This record gives sequence, structure tokens and C-alpha cells, in this order.
Amino acid sequence: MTDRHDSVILHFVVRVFMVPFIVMFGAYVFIHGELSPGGGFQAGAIVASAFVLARLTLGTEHASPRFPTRYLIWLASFGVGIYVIAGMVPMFYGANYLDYNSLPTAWFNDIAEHHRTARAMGIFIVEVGVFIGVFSVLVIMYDYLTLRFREGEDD
Amino acid sequence: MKWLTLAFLVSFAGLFVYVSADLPDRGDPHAPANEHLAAEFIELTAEEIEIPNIVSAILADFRGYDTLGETIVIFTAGLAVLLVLQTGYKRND
Amino acid sequence: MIDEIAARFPYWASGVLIAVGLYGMIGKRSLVKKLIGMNIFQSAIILFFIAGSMRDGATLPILLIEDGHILTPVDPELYVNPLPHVLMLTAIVVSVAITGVALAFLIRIYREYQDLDEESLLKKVR
Repeated sequence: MTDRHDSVILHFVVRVFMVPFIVMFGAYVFIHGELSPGGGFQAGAIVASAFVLARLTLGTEHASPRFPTRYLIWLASFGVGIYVIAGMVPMFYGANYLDYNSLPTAWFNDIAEHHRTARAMGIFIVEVGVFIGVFSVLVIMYDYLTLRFREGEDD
Repeated sequence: MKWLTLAFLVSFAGLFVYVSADLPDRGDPHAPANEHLAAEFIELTAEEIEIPNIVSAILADFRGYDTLGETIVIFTAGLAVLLVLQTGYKRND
Repeated sequence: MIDEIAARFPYWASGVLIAVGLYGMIGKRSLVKKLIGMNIFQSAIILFFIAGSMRDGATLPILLIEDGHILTPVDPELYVNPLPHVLMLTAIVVSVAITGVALAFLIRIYREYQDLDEESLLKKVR
């Protein structure tokens, strides 16, 4: 199932026309998650679908030799860690856990010259964590569900 | 046995359809579920958070604990898949 | 009569889908078909909640924007109920997690016993 399929047309279409645009659409859905339907969960699923498509057609080993499965579990932990730490930061400013009102985001408003409430900034940070977590967990699931048995016959 | 299962499920679906006569109409603006909390969330999103997407605002702010647990559930599922399938298997090559 | 059907149709559809999913979980012997039945069941629940969140004359739960600012004063009657959408978003993600873990267990069971049929599997496990 994850064998490399030797078809020039398939490789060209997937690598040039499909995967980059699916990743770009996922980034759009994520960044516009506050203005239009979208958000961390949806964008994570879309970007993970692009990676799964590459792995289906090019083979797991050939799809991303510099981005192997064993690093993805670290990435998933990193995503969950962003969420947990973003919840803990307000506690240092005397507020409750996950109370984004007291996040120190005034400097960002000064730089960007655009008013955003601290709670909107907190939502964005949290969605980054959710996005990384969902994306990496879905790719982990695909990779490990298509592993082969060591002594197994060819199936 | 098979017919017993089928009869049970058909009677279940029939009971569901019969009971649904007491549910509020679809699209009723004054259904109890759509009345109190929904308006509260919509107004609070516009006043305090100031982002247009109400679903994101509820997901990450009002129900932040829920989403935290959600992310941890997803992470745990990934760990479970990894640990169940890891032993005795090799990578594709 | 036709209004009554239109007002109830999504509830009926979700009831029938729940029965179909239950049939997959109870009546079928293959574990893979049981898993597919469970997925149909979850989809039926999601359909039920989303149908219940609808309001006549309302639009998406995205606040309308005018000149780069949120249109004020906000009229809650103008938007559908956002809470079921949030709950079902999390429910979809949980269903993906459940499906992944269940498939992992099925693959492991098949590697151990070369079988996914419920009754012969029970004999082999014993």
C-alpha cells in the first residue's frame, strides 16, 4: 500500500500540482480561522491529508526522507506543550489557568499598530498548538497503521 | 437471531421517529436549546474577544479546558497507535 | 403535512442512521464492519446536533463585518446556535482518534490470530 508507484504522471501531478496547493489551502484555513470558517483542527486535518497523499503515491520512505515518523511524536508533544504553557503563562500574572485576559500582548499591538484583544491573541496561540498536535498525530496514525510485520509474508 | 436484531432495530427507529414529534421544529428560532446560552456567547464574543468567528472563540476561550482535554485525547490516541503497533514491526522499505 | 415532514426530516434521518449503525455493531460478525457501524452511529449523532442548531433566517456563526469592524449592535437572532457546532467539532476529532486506535487494535489482532471474525476469534482466544 505504501510502495512507490512508478508513474511519471502521478508523481508530477502529486508533487507539483496537489501537495503544495493543499498545504497552502491548509495555511489559509488556519490563518483565516478567526475571520472565516476554519481553525486549528480543520487546518491540521487538511495539511495532514496533503502529507498522507504524498506518502500514498510516493511511498513513505520517498515522500519525506528528512521528516521521518520518529520526529513527529516530538512535534505532537510540542503542540500539546504550546497549549499547556499558554494556559500557564497567565498564572504568573496573577490570573487563573487559561485566562487569556492577562497575557502580555500590548507590545504586539504597538508593533503591528493594530488593535487586538489579549483574548484573541490567546486564541491564536492555542490554535497553533492544536494545529501542530492534530497534524502530527494524524500523520503518525497513517505511518504506523501501514507498517509491515517483521516475519510476515508479503501481503 | 438475525430477525430478532432487525425487529429490535426497526422498532428502535420507529420509536425515534415517534418521539421526534415532541422535539422543537427544525429552524425554530425560539427552541429552548437556541434561546439562552447561544445569545450570551454571540454577544460576549463581539464585546470581549472581537474576532468574527464565534466557533473559534467558544472553542479556544470559553471552553478552553474542553479543548485542552481534547488535544490531550488526540495526543494519547497517537501514542496508543504508536505503542500498539511498534513492537515486532519494521519500517517500510 | 409537508411542513411537518420538513420540520422533522433530519431527526428521522438521524434516527434511521442510528439504527443502521447499531445493526452494524450488533448484527455483523466481522470486527471491521462493527467499526464501520460505530462510525455511522457517530455521524448520525453529529447530524442530529447540527440539525438541532439551525434557526430560520439565520446565517453562519461568523459575525458580520462592516468596514473592517464587527457590525454592532450584534443581533443574536441573526446567527445560528454556535454551541452545537463547537461540540460536534470536538466530537469529530474524538471519532478520528477512536477510529485510529481501533484500527491499530484490529491490525494487531489480525497479526496475532489471522482472523477478524468475532465467533471464531472467541474460540481462538480461549
